[in-house]
Order: sequence, then C-alpha cells, then structure tokens
Amino acid sequence: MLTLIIRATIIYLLVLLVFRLMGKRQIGQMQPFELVLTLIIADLATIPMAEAAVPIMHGIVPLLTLVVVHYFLTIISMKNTAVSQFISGKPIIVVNPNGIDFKALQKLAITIDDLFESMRALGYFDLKEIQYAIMETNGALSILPKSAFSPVENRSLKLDVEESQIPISLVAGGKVMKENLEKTKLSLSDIEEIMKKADIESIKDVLILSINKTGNIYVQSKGQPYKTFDINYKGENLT
Amino acid sequence: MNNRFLYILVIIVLLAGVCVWEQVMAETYLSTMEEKVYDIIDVVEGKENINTEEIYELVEDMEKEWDSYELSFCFLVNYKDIEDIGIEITKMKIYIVENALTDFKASLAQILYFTDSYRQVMGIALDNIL
Repeated sequence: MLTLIIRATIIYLLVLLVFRLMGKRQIGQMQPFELVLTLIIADLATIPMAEAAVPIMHGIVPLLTLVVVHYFLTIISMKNTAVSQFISGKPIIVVNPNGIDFKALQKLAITIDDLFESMRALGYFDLKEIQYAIMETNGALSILPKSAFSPVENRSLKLDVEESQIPISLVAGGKVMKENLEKTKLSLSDIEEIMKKADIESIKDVLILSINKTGNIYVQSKGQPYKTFDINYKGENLT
Repeated sequence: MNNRFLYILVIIVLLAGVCVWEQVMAETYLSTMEEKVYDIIDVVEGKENINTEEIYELVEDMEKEWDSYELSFCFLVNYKDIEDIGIEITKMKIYIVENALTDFKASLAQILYFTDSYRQVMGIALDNIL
C-alpha cells in the first residue's frame, strides 16, 4: 500500500508539472487537440498509479514525451500559420449580414439549434441583432452585434467617468496580506480603524477587506453581509 | 532561452537517458544471461548425471545474477513480463536434485528463448513501434 501511496504522490506531482508546462488555458479555451491531450494525460497517469507491477516509468516516459511533443507543436503553430490552421482549424463566419451561412454550419457539423443555443448564451435571442457570428477554433461563438443593437458606451454618451480600479486585498480569510499592506503604505492600525468603522472586532473574523485607489473599502466579516464605505486615502502608492 | 524551454531541454535529456539506459541494460544483461546458459549447456553436454555440485553452483550463480538484473529491469519493464526466467531457474534447481536431464535442458532452451524475446520487445524496431 505504501508503494501505491508513494507512486500516486509522484504521479500527481508529475501531472502538476506537466499541466504547468502546458500553460494556463482553461478547459473552455482549449483547442480540440489540447483537450484530447489532457484526456490522454489523465489516462496515462492512472496506469502506474493503480498497478504495482507496472513500472512508474511506463507512466512518466509517455507523459514527458507528450509534453515535449506538445511544446514543439505549439512553437511550430506559433511560427507557422499554415501548421496552426491545420492543427486548430480557423475561425469560420456562421452568420453574416445576409443571415445564416448554411454551408459553414454543414462544414462545422453544427445544427441551427446549436447555433441558437450559443447565441442565447451570449445574450442574443434574435438573429436580426447580429451582424456577424464567428465560430472560433476552440468551439466558442463570437458575436458582433449590429450597430443598432450594440451596448451603449460611455464614450458614445461623451460621459467623463473615472478609470476602473483594481482593489487590493488587505485581509483575506482572517489573515493580513502583508505584501499588499506594504504596497498601500497602510499600517495595521489603519486596518483596525477600518474594522472599527465596520463593527468588526477581530481580524480573524474578516472574510475579505479590500481597498481601491480612491479609498473605497469593501469589507465583509464571516457570516455577515458586506459593507462598503470611503476612507480618507489618496492611493498614490497603489499600482 | 526561457524557463519553459529549459524544462523541455531537461526532459529531452532525461528521455534520451532512459532510452539509452534501457538499450544498454537490455543488451548487456541479456547477453550475460545467454553466456551463462551456454556455459551450463557446455558443462551438461554428454553428461547423464546432472545432480552435481558444479552444475548446482552454476545455476545458483545464474540465479543471483538474474535477481540483480531483474531489479534493474523492474524500473523499465512490467515485472510480470520478465518473471519467466526466474521461474525457469527455480525449476532447474529442482531438476538437478531429481536428475531430470531432459527437463533441465528444456528449461535452458526456455531461458534462451525468453532472453531472445525480451531483447526483441525492448529493442527499437519498427514491428515494436507498430
């Protein structure tokens, strides 16, 4: 049993390494060949884990080989468009200003129902709203709406709005994020002040406490609704 | 040269090392086993009584050698695929005690057959790839 535990640990660490080397793509962003590769890796990893008679090398060698092949295939794809298109295919326009391109649907082997499902998922329920719909190589649908149905932008309304800010977490899960605290040039006493304002007694009770460049605080203690308020903070040090 | 490329380079070297290690190990160990079998065949040739200390020691020596080889092979080959030689050697020791010359010779032939087939399985050949 100890052998299996050690083997499982080794394979787990190896699979972690393999996925780190493959990049950070999410399942939904994967190209079809990457999804297949992931399934193969999962299958390969289980063999030496479950059977003690099979050497662990029978799992390690194919796993590492796949990593190497995938690496070079990705490099070649990045440098050569033809290879990239051969491996991943190319985006195909399925809806154009004239309506649905039926030939494109046939080529992609998707039905009109599938197309409507993808459209609805993106918030488009009527074909009239769509100027172009493009089926991406990872199977996701991208839509360019007709100008009349495009969302209104602040720019169009000539509104002068402040740039969005990324809030910095100062406390998460009851623990002070010292690195972030240094970035904001705030101190523990400032945090205690904020907590007092939010009626929170102990740092351990804080689920999340964040601040943005304008000094807006978002704080929530465990089991309580969140509170938000402004403090006198200029945020020159926030990057 | 980025980090990822370095990792890939290390993996390639590692894979190449494993391949060379397997080939060298298979060739060296299996050849040694074959030599040992031929040595025993030479000693047994023309004898009617195999229940001698000399033959027993030769077989024991072969068993010790194979045990150490088997440990190394286990890193690369499924243990169940290479246990046949060990089984045959165990049988040979019983045949010596029982003076079963025909069975003893059959076991020697079996070991030669197994070493040959292991070499074929472990070697890089088109038929293995396909």
